Amino acid sequence: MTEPGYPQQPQQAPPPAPQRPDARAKAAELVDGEWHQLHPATPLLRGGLSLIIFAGVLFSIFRDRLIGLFVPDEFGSEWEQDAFGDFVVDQLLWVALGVIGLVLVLVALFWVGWRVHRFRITGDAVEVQQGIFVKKHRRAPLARIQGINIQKPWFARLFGACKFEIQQAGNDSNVDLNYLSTSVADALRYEILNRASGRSTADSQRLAAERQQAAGGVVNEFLHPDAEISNVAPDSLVRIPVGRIVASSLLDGWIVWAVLYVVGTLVVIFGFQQWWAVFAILPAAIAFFAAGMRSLGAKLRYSIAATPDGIRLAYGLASTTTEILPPGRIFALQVKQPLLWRPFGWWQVTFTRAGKMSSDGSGSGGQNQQMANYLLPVGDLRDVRTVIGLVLPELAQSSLIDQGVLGQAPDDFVVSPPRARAFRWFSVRRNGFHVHPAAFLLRHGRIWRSMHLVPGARVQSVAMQQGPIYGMARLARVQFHVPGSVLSPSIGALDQQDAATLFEHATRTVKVAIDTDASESWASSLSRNAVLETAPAVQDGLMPPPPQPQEQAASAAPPSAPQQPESAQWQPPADRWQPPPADRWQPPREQQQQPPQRVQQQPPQPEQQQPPSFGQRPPRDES
Amino acid sequence: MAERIDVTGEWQRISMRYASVESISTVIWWLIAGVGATVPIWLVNDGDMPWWGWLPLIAAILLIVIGVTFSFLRTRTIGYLQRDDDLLVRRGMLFRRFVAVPYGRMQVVDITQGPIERMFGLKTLKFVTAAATSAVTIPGMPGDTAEQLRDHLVAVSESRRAGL
Repeated sequence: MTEPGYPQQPQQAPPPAPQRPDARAKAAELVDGEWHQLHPATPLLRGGLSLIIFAGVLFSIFRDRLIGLFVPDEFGSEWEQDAFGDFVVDQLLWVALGVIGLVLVLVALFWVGWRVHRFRITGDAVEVQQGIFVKKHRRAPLARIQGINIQKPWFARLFGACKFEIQQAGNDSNVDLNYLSTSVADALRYEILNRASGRSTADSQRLAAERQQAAGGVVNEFLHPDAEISNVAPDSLVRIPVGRIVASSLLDGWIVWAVLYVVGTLVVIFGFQQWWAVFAILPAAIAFFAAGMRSLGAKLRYSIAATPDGIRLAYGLASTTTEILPPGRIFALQVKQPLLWRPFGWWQVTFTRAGKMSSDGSGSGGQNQQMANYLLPVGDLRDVRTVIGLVLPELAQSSLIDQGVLGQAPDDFVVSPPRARAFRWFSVRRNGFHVHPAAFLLRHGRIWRSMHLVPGARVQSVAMQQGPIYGMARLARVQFHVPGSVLSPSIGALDQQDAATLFEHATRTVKVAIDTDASESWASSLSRNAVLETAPAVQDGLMPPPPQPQEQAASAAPPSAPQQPESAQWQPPADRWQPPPADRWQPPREQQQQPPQRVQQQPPQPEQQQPPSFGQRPPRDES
Repeated sequence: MAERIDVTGEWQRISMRYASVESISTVIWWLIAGVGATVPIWLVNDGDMPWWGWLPLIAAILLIVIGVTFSFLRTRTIGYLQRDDDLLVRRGMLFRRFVAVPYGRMQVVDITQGPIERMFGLKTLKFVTAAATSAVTIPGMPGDTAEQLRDHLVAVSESRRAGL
């Protein structure tokens, strides 16, 4: 979209990089609705490892004997009693035949498995067929794609293959195309996303042309495993210096615990002369080291960028993963700060998704499981704002983020009343919430600071709770229910009036957000208005245009719409916000259309003394 | 004591017979526990029951009384409210919980009926959304109301289907 006048015949364009149009043509071939086979190295990659392990076990069993073959004199006596080994040597022919036969059968099975493992991509679904004895046929609608990630384990990269995983909501509902050829995987992902987004052919061709032009020269599989995408989108919006990654990993909560554990055990060993404790320290130290190296390896090449199809995350050093999360597939965010990061001003952003990234069983599963929840492994406040801006553009330049992560009481957040100090000893002036048209912001903790952001359109249900002790203190808790088990946003120790108003308002906001949400086929909802191409953010109502008629009309809404006071406050910074380069996606939520008609129906809390103009409320008196 | 949280509206109460259902299962549960704790004491003491041997049974009976009382009190608090855009479900007297589920978010509506519920002609309605935490159940729906409410909810959420 950066060059509107670019000619629209990308496939026939004279190739600056010969393999680009190739890949796209191949990908176009793959999405023709016919059945296709996976990468020919698939059986080797799926089953080859077990063969290698098998050979390794065999070797380790007969290691002494093999050595003995070459150094017969010195080791001769040691394997005299090895009955199994003797038997093998005696019956060498039969054993060899048996092993070869077993290998042949396995290879044949893997080969047949590869033959019957097929996939096809039709207009609205991806289908996979597999299984020799037990047939499995899975069909996943494109409109419900939660994300597509391409994993390249290092051993698969040797074969030019990669894993292709289409995430669907649910526990075990992903569609895996393991393995695909690396050269087509990226292009195939774009084809699928094009279809899922409902983008017009002209649009998708133009995007492909841009990608092709941007990719420019040689694609080096090893240096730039995600070359195609990293070139189309602006480079990573967040740069994490290596030193920061290392330091943050070292200061991360559990690594500190690991060090404490090791130190404690060392004290036991040397201080109390308990030598047996060595056995407690070694495996743990090895495990900690391995885990630390793995997470470090994953974070070292972390990058995040905006593409027309959503957020692109890439990470991994030897085994890489690139993932595209279409708009509206992030259900909640959490910004938090481990205590030891505080002097450095570092933050971490995690998110929750509806699907679950399946572990690949190759040892890098842990890395993926862990990274699968990070939107930002470590970064300063500016990075946090950038990342949040990708998910919730409305909040990108808002002062609410700063207030949410750092601020306390007299600000735009509604905080716990002073009498809640018994429940929130230090954070009583911080523990609070704010309702923005796009999202609910919940902030917690003064020592362990954190903030939840829940996009309104993604909330599944809302709960308000009050136990007997909270009841005596007239406090309550409000919970937002989102898919996934990573985050469970809730805010406790609220004044019960505030909680009731938040609950009441949340149910209304969620309804409006759902109605205006169109992330299911994100591009078609954008391309409905052709003018969007020029200034998508403003046209879509995401960025407030210089005069704000809707906003002022909305601010006349009755008191129970608590986001109104603050809208006047966060507007000025939002004005300075320049719409980003047009090729970043915009979740098409039209948040200004608040439902003023419903607000009048019931004054939610008649006994409330002052209208809940949440923004300016001073700290409540203890009563 | 101060006012507790509440949401006003035309709440639909569930059948009070559900209190009997809960009471019966409470009685069965605590009787099993009480007897199960008492009999071994009796056996260990060779049929000669010490005075404290009756304590588990007494405790069980006390708990039954408390449980039955509370099940009647709690049943009075369970209710649902169909609003324009969402279904509101409440339960609990001491531990109050209100859950609002937008109609478009309902993925599955289940009706279950246990053996004791069947004796009283009651059914339990359960909603599932994409979030595991928002498990919402309405027990004690008499007669056809469960089916009627389910059909109504399915129809409404069909028209407002909103993905995830």
